[in-house]
Amino acid sequence: MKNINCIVNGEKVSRNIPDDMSLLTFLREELGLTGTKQGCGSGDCGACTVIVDGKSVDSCIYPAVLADGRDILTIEGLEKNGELDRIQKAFVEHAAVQCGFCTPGMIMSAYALLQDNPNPTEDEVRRAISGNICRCTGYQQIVDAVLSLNM
Amino acid sequence: MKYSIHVPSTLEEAFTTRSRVGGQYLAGGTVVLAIKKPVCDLVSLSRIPGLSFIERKGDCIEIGGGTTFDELDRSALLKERLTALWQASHELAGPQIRNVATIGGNIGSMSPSADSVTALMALDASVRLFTMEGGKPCRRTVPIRELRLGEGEIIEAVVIRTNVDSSVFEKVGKRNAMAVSVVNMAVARVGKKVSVAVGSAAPNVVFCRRTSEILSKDCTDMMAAKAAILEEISPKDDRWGTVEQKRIVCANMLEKLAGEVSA
Amino acid sequence: MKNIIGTSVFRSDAPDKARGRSVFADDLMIPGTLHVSLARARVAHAILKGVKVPPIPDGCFVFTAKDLHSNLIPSIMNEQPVLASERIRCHGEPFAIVAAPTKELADSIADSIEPELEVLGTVDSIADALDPSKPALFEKGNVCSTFHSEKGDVDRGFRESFLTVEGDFETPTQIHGFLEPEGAVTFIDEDGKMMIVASTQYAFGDLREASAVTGRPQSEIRAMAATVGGAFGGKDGYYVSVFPAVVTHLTGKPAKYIYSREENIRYGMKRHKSISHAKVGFSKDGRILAADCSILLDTGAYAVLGTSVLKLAMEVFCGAYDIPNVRLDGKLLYTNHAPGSAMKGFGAPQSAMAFENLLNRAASKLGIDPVQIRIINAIHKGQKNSMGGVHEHEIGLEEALLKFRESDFYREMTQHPEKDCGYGIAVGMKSSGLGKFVPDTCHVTIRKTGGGYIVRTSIVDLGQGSRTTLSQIAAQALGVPFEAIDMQMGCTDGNPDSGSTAASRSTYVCGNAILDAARKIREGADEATGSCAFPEPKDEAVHAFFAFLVQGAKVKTDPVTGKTDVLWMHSTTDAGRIINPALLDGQVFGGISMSIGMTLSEQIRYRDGKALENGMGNYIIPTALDVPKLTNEFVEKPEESGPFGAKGMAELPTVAVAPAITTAVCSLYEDLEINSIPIDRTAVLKSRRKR
Repeated sequence: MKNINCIVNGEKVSRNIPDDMSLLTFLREELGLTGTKQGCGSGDCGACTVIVDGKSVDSCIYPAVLADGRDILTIEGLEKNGELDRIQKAFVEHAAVQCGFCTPGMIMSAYALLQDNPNPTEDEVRRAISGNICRCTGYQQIVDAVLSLNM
Repeated sequence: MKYSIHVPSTLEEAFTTRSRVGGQYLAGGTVVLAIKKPVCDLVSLSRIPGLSFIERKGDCIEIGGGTTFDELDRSALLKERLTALWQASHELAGPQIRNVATIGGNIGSMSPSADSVTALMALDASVRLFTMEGGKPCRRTVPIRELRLGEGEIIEAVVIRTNVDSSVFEKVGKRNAMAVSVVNMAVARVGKKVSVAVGSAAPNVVFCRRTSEILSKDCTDMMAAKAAILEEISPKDDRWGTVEQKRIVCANMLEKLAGEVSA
Repeated sequence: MKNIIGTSVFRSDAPDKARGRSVFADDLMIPGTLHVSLARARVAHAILKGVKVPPIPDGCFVFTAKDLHSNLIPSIMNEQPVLASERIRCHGEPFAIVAAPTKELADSIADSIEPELEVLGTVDSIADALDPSKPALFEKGNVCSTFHSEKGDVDRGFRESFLTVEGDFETPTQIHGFLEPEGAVTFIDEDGKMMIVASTQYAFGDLREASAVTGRPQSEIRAMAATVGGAFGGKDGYYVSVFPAVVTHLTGKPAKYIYSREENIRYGMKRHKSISHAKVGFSKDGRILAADCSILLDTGAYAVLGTSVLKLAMEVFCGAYDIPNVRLDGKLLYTNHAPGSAMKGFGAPQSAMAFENLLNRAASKLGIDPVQIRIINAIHKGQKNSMGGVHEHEIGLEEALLKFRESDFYREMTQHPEKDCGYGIAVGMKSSGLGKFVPDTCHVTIRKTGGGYIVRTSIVDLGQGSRTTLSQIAAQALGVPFEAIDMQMGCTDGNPDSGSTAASRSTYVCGNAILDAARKIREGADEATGSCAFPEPKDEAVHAFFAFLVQGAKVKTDPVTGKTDVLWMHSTTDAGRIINPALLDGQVFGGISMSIGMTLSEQIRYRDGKALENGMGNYIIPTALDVPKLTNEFVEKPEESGPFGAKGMAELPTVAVAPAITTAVCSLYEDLEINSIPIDRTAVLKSRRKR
């Protein structure tokens, strides 16, 4: 067991947790932030993507104890006062959401991309979401949504 | 709790902790924590400062073992001078994996499909290993072509000479991202000396000595080079491809990549 | 009032999904939940002689077949036990249910339960299933069902043919690959009823199954669909929810069972692997005179919906064309593999791989443009289908072909093809509705409230957008804004039975039921039930109506690696009137990407009945760097009997992808014929490229 102190969606969090708990389980079960999903448990599908210290990671294979001291952003942290952030809005407006299960992870990957590169090309968008599997959309409308955010 | 994670803050602490509790080192975790769930204790290397760097040191580039593939991908220095390693980093898995997977972890996985190792073999890289003897820190630098990791040894840094004129890496996967290599290859040229390495075509990454010799003597002797490389690899039929496919692809890639680095 | 039909209204459930606020089954965390694990067989075929249950900790439970009221999953064949009690028929078949306060503990108890087995030989392939020397899974043998149909005189048709083409084809076992694995949560609610919250296409299915298996009266059970993370036919109110339901029924405690990804890939239901053979005869000017089509499908250890998959595969095999002489032969075979059942396309992708490839080869040999040869032979309303029955409903195939011929894709393909690129086209055909002799009705209710209307249906929005599409239909029919519709879906309690969300039926049958109820509301009722029964074909046919799609594929191959990259997929889709174009585009793009996977990289391979693939690292689903630019256009030829002229097309886009891509690849080579998918790169590597 270890004590971890981290920031999650702008708020300080302090917990005592088992060593073998993944960051995904920590977020979903300890903190009740169920927006981040488990799709495979092996870091292969991206449904569990969150941002840690500015970098997108697969939280299912990220030990929660190693989140100590880190700044974590999940899908729940994007909206402000109930207002969708611009990436979320773009997804809604471009029919980029179907079943919704890949959506939080997909949006976090898009978020990480746009923080780094506010005007990506189509290739750069596809590369940025290449670690997020979607079975419903065929990616086209997701790519359109992200490209629509170019400044 | 299935296992404990120890979080040392120095290399000495990491080594002595692992000696004490047994278990294995945890670098980025993308292999150890993925399909095979650990049952032994883990000693994390991620909180040891000074392991993440890409630096020019004299006629070499040194890369800390804790450097992530994302950091390698972003390095203009690497892209320009050690292109093969940059390409391997650029194409490894996907963004989330590149953000946490480290070059030390990739080497330490001892996997025949560790993409960076193929590039490093062609580039004739050396690995600086940290260990302890008689309670004292001890380092040795070994060419990666001869690397056998001793008990508890930690990959502190990778050292590569920058006198490379040209290098290239290519991987073949079953899809264009998040792909385990079916075959991968790196070719590097220093003057007339050509070096070829192949991954995923043998139990370990192979430095193709004979093939390299042939191309170094005559970089156009493709027939002999292809014959040689097929002798130096020993692919298996597995879920990624058949022996036949790997042999054909290997020969084709050799011709292509050797052509790309030629003067 | 502004017309809402044909408008790309934003999905009403998208904001909550984009926020991460939608509640999927695994998001339900109830204190005191028992986590479920299954003790599974590690061999594919055996006599089960007994089960040794070791002592288990307090608060944990183990249930075997004897604890069930009925050990049978209700299905067409009524042959699949909930828990194996006499025989193991596939690797991973469960023989005990374990429930424990943590998933870890449940898994470790499950691992410790030893079955006493007498191992039998494995029926490990379609060839094995046909081999009389191999063990039989059932008393009747390994042939579950057959299909045979003859129209006209096939032998004479071939004698009269100027050209015949023939081939053997193979398509892989494929998984649905929904991002959310199967699962359900069950608990006893305040009224003492058992509530089942499942990732499901059909909550009534889960309810009836739980009742049959536990003996708990249906009136004492409620079921509802959580937000569902994709289904594609693999969550049809069948099987998975029964395990936590048994635990809750027997313990009174909440229970949760979510498949691990490994369980989903290895043990979940699959698309049937197919081996097919077809021979097609042509006149000199390209008319198809005769077709002899046969298919073998691997339905694994239990048929589930396999008998229907066989019928559909046969019906559409050459069904897009008006052919006077047709022979259809099919067999559904048991093997010791995971059960094959419904998966988006339902047999059509398998047969299209064969027929459309042969049609393209014939076109090439005859010197006829591949679109033209299809225009020559396209089926029309009023003509006979491949089994002899008459098509009574609207068919826009010719219109789709003509429109495709005007597309940028076709222009590029025929007039200025890009260097080193291959192009191919194919046609897809898919029915909607459950088929002849299968009860296929839908009931909905509409109730007037202060602000608008509550519409209740058991149809589930699985991601395909039915919530939005059906709301548009309701809003238009009631003459109110979209926002005035409160669509309540997927719940048994207080809801009428609308049938399952399957078979591309929802828009048609539920849309019509909504129109029926809306008519009554407009006539003055405050509350009304509406119904619709799917039209059954009157004579020889399995389904009454179909949607069609023309698929173009542009590819490049790498001579060094043999790898195929798809550069562009363009489709022209006939689905009647389009209710929501953006949502329908999404359906087209999703279906295409699923079949790109089947064509290039997805397969489940078995060794001695054990799946080689066990995770999303080695089961290769296309990423955003593998699926290219996708474009789609519609021809809107309204189906008169459909709601505002719509007909269903949810599965259609999966059908024609493989033959379009394989034809495109082959067009780059002198001597390459691709008959098997996923494409074998070695065959491509060994072929001679055209100059």
